[in-house]
Amino acid sequence: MASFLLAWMASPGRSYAAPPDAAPPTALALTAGVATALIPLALGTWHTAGASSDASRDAGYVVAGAGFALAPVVAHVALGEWKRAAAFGAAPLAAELGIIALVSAFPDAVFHRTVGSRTAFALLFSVDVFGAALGLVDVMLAGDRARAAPSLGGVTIVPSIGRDHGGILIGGRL
Amino acid sequence: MRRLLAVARLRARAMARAVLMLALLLAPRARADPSVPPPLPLPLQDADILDKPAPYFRVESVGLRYTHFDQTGTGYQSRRGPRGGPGRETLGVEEPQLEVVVKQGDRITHRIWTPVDIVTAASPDAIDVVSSASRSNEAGSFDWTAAYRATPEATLSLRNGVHNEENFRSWNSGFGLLRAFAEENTVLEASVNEVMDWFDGYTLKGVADGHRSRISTNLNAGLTQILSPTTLAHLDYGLTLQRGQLSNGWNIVPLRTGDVALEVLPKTRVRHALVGRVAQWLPWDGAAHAFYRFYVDDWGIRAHTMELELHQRLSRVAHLRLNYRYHTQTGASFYRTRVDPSFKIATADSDLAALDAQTLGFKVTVDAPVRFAQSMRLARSVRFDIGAERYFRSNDLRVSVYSCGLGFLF
Repeated sequence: MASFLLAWMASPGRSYAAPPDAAPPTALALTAGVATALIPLALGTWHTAGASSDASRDAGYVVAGAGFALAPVVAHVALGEWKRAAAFGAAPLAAELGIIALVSAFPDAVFHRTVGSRTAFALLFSVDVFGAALGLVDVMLAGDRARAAPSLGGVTIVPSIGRDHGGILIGGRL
Repeated sequence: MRRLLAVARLRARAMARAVLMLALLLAPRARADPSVPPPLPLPLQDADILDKPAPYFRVESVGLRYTHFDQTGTGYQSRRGPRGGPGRETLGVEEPQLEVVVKQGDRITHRIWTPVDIVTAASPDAIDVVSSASRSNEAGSFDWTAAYRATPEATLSLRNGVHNEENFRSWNSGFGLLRAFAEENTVLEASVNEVMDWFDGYTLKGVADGHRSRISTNLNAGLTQILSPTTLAHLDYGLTLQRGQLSNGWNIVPLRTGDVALEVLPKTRVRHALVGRVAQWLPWDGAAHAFYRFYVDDWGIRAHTMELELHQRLSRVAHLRLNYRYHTQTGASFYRTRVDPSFKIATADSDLAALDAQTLGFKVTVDAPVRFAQSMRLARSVRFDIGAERYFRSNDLRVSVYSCGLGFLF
């Protein structure tokens, strides 16, 4: 029993570290998230900068914000982290929905209307941008999470040699 | 964060227990006096064997800087002057700024930069002569860069920022990749940055006229190469595409009739910049940095910029930097100081004119002795610098810049 316990406890590789070949594709996920943010930003604001009506300009900014809203979701999903995708996507998605609601209700809210309506847009867009940034920084931590997360499977084999005994300890959690 | 710490603590305890049990299991069974129990060894902690682990979040440095800009001169785009121009380009800026660098774990470095500008300017103030609301304009920025070291050779970085001032808001977002080769003798880097500006439009009389927008997309690629043990070279190419209202909204163009009109710029601009740098160590505890930049855009501006910096160590704790910069450019093809009222595109902005400019400057940096810094219990090292620059150019513009900084390295 003691040997079994020893084997169980003396195996940090088994208990807490993911095998090296299971490192999450952090760089790939991050790149996917950044592309999701920047491509709509470029296309949307490029459209807005050349548009002539408020509705058309609004559409460009909605597209620009949509990239930020989806970026943390795409990046976390690329890592298979569905719950984190939902958690870190919530704020930018809510902000993006807020922008859509604002320009749907008041098409002139962003480019004319009142200081209040423009400030609301600025705040929502800032939450969109920095919410996405926070989510993408969390993606950078995927490697740390994988190294720290307990692993449920795996079997550990430890040779045990003493002056009056010798053997192999086999342990694992099923 | 808490979960990570808790798991790390659990892991340390498990290891300590395992080491203890291993020691007991492998200990000799036959003892000299079995009636005397051996003293139990104290449980070992990671810190007993290794150095104390660094905290997960650690502040690497904090930098404070104060800069004062003082600009004088004239330009035909300013309406603060005689009829037909040129008007005054007087501008004063007070800029305190704070920079904090924080390490998160082993792979992530955050840089937070927050400059605040208090701008006093003659030209924008002239557009609302009734309220004078633009006489002093406060602006603030928040800029956050997070760099992730994916491998020992590759670093990815994210940059996001927001800028807010009275009549202007801007968001920027960027992504960069840095990859080292040949034991870091060669470093390749590439980045993309998007800047979205959203700002007030004005009529000629200074009445607010809705909001305007513009987008700037910037792509960069660079190569840094160690040429010898004392020589470093860098090449960089940048492409910037801009679209939208590219004027600031209040610049004017004098008309032949004696009146003025708002400047009208093209809706797009394509800009190319090629930069070369060389840094050379000098055998008398100094270094020379040479810089050349070639710039061309589709507005007809072609510019050459050369800069030389000399760094000299003055003592164990102080060093001096002297710098000289020369810039020459052709003017935009639509630059005019007087136009017909029926003009389509024209600017009188002195920045877009043909000009030569020179900058002279110096900076003295003092690193407080480590013993002093540690006795203050503030930081591992304290750095103080003070510097000044004088910029002057051929079309009547002069700028003095005074700057001082205080940095703490932890």
